[in-house]
Amino acid sequence: MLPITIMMILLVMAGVIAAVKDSATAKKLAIAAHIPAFALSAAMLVISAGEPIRLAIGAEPWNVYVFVTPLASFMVSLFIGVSLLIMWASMALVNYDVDQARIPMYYSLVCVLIASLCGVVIFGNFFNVFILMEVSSFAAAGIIIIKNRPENMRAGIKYLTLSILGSSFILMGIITLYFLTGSLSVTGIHESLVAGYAGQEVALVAGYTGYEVAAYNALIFITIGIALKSGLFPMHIAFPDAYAIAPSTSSAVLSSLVQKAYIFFYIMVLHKAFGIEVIMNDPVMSTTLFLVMAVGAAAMIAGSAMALLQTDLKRMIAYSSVAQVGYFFLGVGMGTRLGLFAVIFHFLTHAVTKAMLFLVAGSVIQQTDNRTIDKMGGIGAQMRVTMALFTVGALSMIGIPLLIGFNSKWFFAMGIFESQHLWLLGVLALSSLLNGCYYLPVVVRAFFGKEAAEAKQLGQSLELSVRGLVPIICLAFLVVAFAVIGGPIYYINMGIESIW
Amino acid sequence: MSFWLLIPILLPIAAGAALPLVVGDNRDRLQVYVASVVILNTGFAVAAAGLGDTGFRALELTSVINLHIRIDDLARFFLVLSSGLWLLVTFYSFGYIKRDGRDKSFFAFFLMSYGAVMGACLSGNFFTLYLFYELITLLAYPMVVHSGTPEAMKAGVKYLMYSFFGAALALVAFVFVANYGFTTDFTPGGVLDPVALAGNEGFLPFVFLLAFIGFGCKAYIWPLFDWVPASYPLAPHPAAALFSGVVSKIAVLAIVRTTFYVFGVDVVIGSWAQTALIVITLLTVFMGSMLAYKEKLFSKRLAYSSVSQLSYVLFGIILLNPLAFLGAMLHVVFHGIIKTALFLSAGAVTHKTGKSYVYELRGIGKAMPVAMWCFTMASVALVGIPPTGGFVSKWHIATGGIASNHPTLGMVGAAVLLVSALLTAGYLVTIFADAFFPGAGFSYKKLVNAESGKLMTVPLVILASLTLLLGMFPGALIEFINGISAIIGI
Repeated sequence: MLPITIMMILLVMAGVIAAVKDSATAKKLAIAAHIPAFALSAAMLVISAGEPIRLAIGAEPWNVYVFVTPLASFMVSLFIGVSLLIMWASMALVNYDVDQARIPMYYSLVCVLIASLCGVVIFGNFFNVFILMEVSSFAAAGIIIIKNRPENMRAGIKYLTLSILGSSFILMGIITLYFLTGSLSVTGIHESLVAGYAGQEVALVAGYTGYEVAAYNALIFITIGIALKSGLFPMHIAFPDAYAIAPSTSSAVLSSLVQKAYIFFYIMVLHKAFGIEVIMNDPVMSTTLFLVMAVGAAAMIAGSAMALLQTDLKRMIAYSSVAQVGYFFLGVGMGTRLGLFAVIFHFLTHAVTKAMLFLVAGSVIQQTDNRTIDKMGGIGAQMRVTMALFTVGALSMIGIPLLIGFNSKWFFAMGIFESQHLWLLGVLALSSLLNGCYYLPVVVRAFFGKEAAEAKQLGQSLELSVRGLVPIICLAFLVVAFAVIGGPIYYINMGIESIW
Repeated sequence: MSFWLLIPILLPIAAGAALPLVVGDNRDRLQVYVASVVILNTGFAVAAAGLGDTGFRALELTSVINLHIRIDDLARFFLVLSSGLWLLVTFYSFGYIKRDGRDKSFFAFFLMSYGAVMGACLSGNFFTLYLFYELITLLAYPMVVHSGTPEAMKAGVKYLMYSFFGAALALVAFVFVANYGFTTDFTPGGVLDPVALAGNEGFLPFVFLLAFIGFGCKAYIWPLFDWVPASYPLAPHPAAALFSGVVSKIAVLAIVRTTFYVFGVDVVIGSWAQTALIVITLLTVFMGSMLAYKEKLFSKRLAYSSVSQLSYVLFGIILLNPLAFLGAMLHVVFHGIIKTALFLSAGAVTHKTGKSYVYELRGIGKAMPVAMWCFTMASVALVGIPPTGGFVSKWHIATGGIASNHPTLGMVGAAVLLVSALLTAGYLVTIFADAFFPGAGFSYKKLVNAESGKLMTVPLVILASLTLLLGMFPGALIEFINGISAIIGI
């Protein structure tokens, strides 16, 4: 019941928060919802480490089926933990972006969103997962639109449209799998697919012979759907707008958490439902996976190249996320153990780093009322701590050792080496350099040069309140801590063993 | 015991980070603080060099990603050289850096870079070296852009991007090493595993080339030296001196580690990568000298000169011959001292008179005799006239080249070295000749004594006398370097 309890805490509190009128109370309730949920998710991390948690209510296929592998509990802790820090920071940031009257609504939506993301990773029945994906899409669109301006409306609708388009592809894939195997649970599908592959046709539709073709279709539909929903280049068009225009705390949640649930679902489809051996031994399906990897590599370069052209700080970070999504698909597409390890570790890396960067961007924008990078010269003199945190994030993105970004890159490099596509090492190196090309100028302009000297003369501090800074400092601490402690590596390794 | 090795790394980094808090706005306290930290730390560095071969490992995440600090003879060599030069430049900087409020940040990063350099010297595996290499890039950056002018900022970005690019090449190379080697710890003779390598030997020369050129970026190897002439003239002279005298030597250390402690002589010798690198380094020697000869801006001329001189060292290393290695390591010492002296005397001139072009320096020797005498001594040593240090090192490189496995290229190398020495004479002798013999048109009436203060001249005199002393009595140094080449087995 533990996984369901975690979700229910968040959902019930979402209801309570929506009923509250007072914005200060809403903020406190949102934090209050996250703390027990996080504690329970930590407990789940320990419990699921031994044996996956399984819980079925009702009969197959139309049941509620909870299936929590160690990796899933890792994801749940990641979602709730990072969201907790973002919510904490939002206490000092949200008023700038969201009307007082809508703040309870805002926090309610965030709680629904986090609950649905947890649901996507803990459920083992694809029908359950699909419903929660839809919930998360609407909640995500909600926290974009909440800012009540026409451009937010547009960005939100665009986001929702693409997301629903993605969902319909996924739905088609799930339906195909259902007709093929008669099952909706991840384990059931796997068993019948392997059996079907072995030549024993168990398709529900009588006389149907195109078994393999149907399996291909299912995989390809789901791949396209996930690519649409997580904003893989060149299907990213809705994402930079959404991240740039949404309230900064929403951008942090959207970019550091939301796509990861979808990509995690994709990993479960590949590794648990189809089985990676089946995929790698089949010419069509392994080609599909190779294309996923190649498109991921293209996204790494294209996202960074587009980020170089941006003048708006948040939009730049948003395009950087487009590049980071490329990393995930690159690793998933390798279809190897090391590749998968790199992806899961990068979930952690990207969640803490990107959340931190968006929160820093949000506080700069709030404190200076300016979002153009060109006008941020000398900002480091007035926001010393904030920009120091940005520097930590930027250096991690570039891949300086002792910061978590380096470890991620190294693991990707090891994965690439194992997969024998050595040209990808060049892509990886180029992508790190491009990261340097757009993150470093912001840091440099903030601290050095004439403008910094002039700003120093002014001497006034624009720093965010301590209440807002502490959670961002916590994120920065995690960026360093996870680079030097072995816990996550050990746990992820164990999680991969359990689904391999 | 081995944890003592952390002190020379962490002390300056911590002291630099704490500098704004400790000194406040009191400038005299700044000098006392920085001087005591540097003196203390140089003491610790020398003490660390006195420890026996020892080391320790920390933050062990994987077999590659862990911090490995250790000391061996090669580390001792670079540790003492770097800390000695850093000490001298510190005092010079007190006289040079204006007390304009930004000096605080200059000295804060000055101290932190010192710690990063010590860390690079004491690195025992690739990850640690890469960490400190990147830290040097980042922590030295504020010194490059100290003036804060738009041109300096632009040069600073160029410096960063070249440095990161070089480091990325080296990192890619080490992905291969991590997979094909027993370990990434630096082990004399190399770490590659012939069993794991079987069938993939074809990659090795390419990978080696990547690592060599990647780390070579900070040692100004073609085609990655373009950031040098862009950034050195805009950086304060003490910073340029440190880059040229110390940081470039750290790149040499990284290359020596890569060549002899990771890949191993047997892998590299006779490969196409060795041939390619011999050609590239010789090309860089020649290009650097030519560009320096044609350059009119004083500090840019010195920057190009460094490009050429550092490739002497790299040439000496890639010949994989004990004589050439001896020459290269001697040149590391001599060039470190000489180029620091040259940049510092150029700095003294520019600092006092504002003159920065070589044709403006007519008669400057009459106004600043000490600075220009030191410049002359260092120049003579760099050209390589006996009995100064430059002669000893170049001689060994040239003879080593002829004795190497590429005798023809070694012969060509000796010729290139000779031509380059002539060019060196061409671009340096003219400066001090004009400085001391300004010709008939020079008016002695306007002459005022423009000598800099003791803080700047004393380090200069020490450096200039070292070039002569070490050139005349290089025995102990040679013995030490031969000890290293015995360990690494060339």
